[in-house]
Amino acid sequence: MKRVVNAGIIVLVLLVVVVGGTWYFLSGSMLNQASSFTASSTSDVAVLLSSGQAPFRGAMNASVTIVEFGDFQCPTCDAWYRTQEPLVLQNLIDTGRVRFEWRDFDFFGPDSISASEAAYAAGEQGKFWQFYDFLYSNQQTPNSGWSNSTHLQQFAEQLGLNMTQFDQSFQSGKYSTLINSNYELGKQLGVTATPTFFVIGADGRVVTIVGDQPYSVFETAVNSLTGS
Amino acid sequence: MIMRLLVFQIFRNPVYVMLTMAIMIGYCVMLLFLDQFLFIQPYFVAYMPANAFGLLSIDLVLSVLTGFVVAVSIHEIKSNANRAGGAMRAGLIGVLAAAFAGACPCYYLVPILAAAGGFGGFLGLTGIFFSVYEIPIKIVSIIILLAAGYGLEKAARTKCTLT
Repeated sequence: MKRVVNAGIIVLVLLVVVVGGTWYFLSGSMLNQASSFTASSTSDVAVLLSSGQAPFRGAMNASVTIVEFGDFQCPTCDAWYRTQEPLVLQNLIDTGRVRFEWRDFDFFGPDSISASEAAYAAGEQGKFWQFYDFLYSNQQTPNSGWSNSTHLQQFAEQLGLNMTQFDQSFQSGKYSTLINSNYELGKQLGVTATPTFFVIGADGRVVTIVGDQPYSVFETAVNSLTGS
Repeated sequence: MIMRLLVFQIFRNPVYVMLTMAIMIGYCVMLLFLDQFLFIQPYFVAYMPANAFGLLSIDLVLSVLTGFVVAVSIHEIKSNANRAGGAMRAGLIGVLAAAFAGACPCYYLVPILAAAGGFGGFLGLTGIFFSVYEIPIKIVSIIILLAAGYGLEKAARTKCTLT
């Protein structure tokens, strides 16, 4: 019996070490160092991403472009939007270092496509990013109806859009080609999850970041591409 | 109280301590990766978002229980041929519960499943279901693993009573 108790104590100690270690490790007490971090020279990716149109924010001539492939119904995209995008916006986009582009990669269902169509329709009135912010700020469970046509029209109304123009554009289906081509482009680039970010330097070097990763990763990528 | 559980007797053998730890750590790393606490691209990153305490705790509990239930089941199968069926069932339940829970963070899988099955297809909808109900499914998996552990302990006590 004593041996069993001793073994139990050993297991519990090991558990405490594993759980405590994991907690300490993930809570940021250990540095996430990019000791030998280098961007890949996948210039094909940069060429593919330079094709077509995509809404962007930031300086047109910024030396680095970040392209996000996302889905307005994707909870991970929403998590990144809420926690990391403000830091990217504040430190990289607003400072003129980065141009941030959005490309939809709609796989959660028809409501994702409707959300993209509505955002593009809002973009015709210069409010793509307001609509983008509004969608992520109001995201709910995927396919629960929160981004169906009726709600999207209500969102547009709340943003003060010209509803006649919005409805006409939103319901015309004119953006279905763009949405399909973005989806195909994403697949061609190897996007298998959202959000996926391609950080592209002026020389065509590309860093791919997949998932809800912290701001520090984006900063390191931008620094490595700009040599700063 | 916990120390008096008969199933802990397997830890008299260091091999089972190591086996438990290996399953536990391996499964834990997999869950941490799938739940985006760990990233390997563009470089190794360990990151815990501010609101992810609950999910991390669930992952750690799941890993511990999975390691324990699977190791005890293997021990029972190897050491007691007469009762191997019951242990095998408990082990299988443990593995299935762990796999069920591991399938939850379909963050990496949903787009692939959706692309494979098309919008509204079974695969895509299954992936989205697992993704949306990740935490409740993981809690159910914990309950199943606890039940499997209880079954193993009960079986061990029955064995002691009979002998």
